[in-house]
Amino acid sequence: MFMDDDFTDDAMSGVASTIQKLEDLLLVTVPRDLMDDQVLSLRREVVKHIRLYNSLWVLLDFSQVDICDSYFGRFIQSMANMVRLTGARVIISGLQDAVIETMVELGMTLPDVRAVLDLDEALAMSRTNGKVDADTSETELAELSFLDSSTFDFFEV
Amino acid sequence: MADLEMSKQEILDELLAAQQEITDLKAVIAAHDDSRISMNQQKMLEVAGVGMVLYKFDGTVLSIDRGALKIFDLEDVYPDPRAVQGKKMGDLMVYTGRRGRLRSIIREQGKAQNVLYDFKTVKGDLRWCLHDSYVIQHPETGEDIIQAIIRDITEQKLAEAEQERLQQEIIEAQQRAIQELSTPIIPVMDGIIVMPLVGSIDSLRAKDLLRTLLEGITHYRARVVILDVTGVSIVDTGIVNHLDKTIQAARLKGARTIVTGISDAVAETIVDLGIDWGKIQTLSNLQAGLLAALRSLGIQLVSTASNTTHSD
Repeated sequence: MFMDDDFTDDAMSGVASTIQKLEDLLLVTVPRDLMDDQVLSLRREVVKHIRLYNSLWVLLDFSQVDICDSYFGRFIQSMANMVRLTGARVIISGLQDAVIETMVELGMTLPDVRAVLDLDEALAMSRTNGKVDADTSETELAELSFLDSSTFDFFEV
Repeated sequence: MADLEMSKQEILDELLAAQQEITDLKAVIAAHDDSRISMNQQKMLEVAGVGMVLYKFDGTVLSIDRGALKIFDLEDVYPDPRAVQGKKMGDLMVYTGRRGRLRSIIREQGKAQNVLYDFKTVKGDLRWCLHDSYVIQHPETGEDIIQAIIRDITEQKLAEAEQERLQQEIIEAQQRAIQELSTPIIPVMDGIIVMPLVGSIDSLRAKDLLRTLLEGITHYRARVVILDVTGVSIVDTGIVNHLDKTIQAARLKGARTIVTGISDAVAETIVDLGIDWGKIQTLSNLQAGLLAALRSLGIQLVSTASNTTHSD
């Protein structure tokens, strides 16, 4: 019932394979060259899969991306906002050093998106904080951070 | 008496003839010496890597000496320099620059002095030479021709390049050493790395620092980075900005940063500059930073000494 025809865009054919379910995570491998029209369909597809698998976390894996522009930052931000509306949270992983350098220079620090080193860390985090209800508030979620919440507040750093 | 007169005349004639002979002989000897000198000179020029060429403006070679042939590396092709007469300069070498560049200089100024000229020999080796020349009239046809002296400086050039390369290598090695010294990464525990900062931080070093830190986080799979600024005595907005960027970058790599070792003076400066570091965890010294990092990873330090005392 979720495979509505509305969502099966032509543009999606190449992107669909990059979304995989991994425990509570929805692993989205961001393609190397993300086109503008692909962004829209990728966002829709992600939301559709969240509903399909009841995923709690959406992990955007950027290990294939080696070019970064301001559009890239907006893509992550809009994805995070949209995912949050469906009750899940966005984690980003695998950002390459050069991409991070550019992002920092451009001031795209994504203060409300959680970042982890790689898939292992993301999985470990989702296992530790697995039981996040859809109606968990932002502050509560922040307290469920991977590290000891009494010392740190990840969403604040 | 008449006999005597005659004999006097004869003697005089003979004397004159003898004198003439001596002059002739002297001339012959002088000519011989001259040719020897010129032969020696020729040899000298050859050894010194100097060559002479006489050629027309259209490039036709009128005469060339052994030294020049040596520079062109054509000694074995033309054992007799006279065989080259009538050939074009373009047959003797391969132009690397614009053809006729030198000739246009000579035509404009009537001469060329110390012009650095590079070309390739027919066999393909790169050569550098210094070119001096001036325009003379052809003794028979009266047309303008070029008399040129060329000096081979390829060896010097290569030695210079080698010297430069060595110097560059030394500089690079030293820079590498300084870079490594200035941004060390110290893994203290699983998931915790310490990066002590020493001295002033300019934008170049800041970039280096950021890269080293990102690489360090990946390499040690660090979750907490302790940035120790004990060695930084002066702080300005630039440095704080750089540190800010470094901390943000570490966060995007999945590590959180604790800044330790902020001295009183630095703390004062930060406040006076109106920089807001409220969102960054700062602690007074490395010890406190390490404890905080351990706590955040859920690791507790337990003294074993107290346990043994109790069991006794």
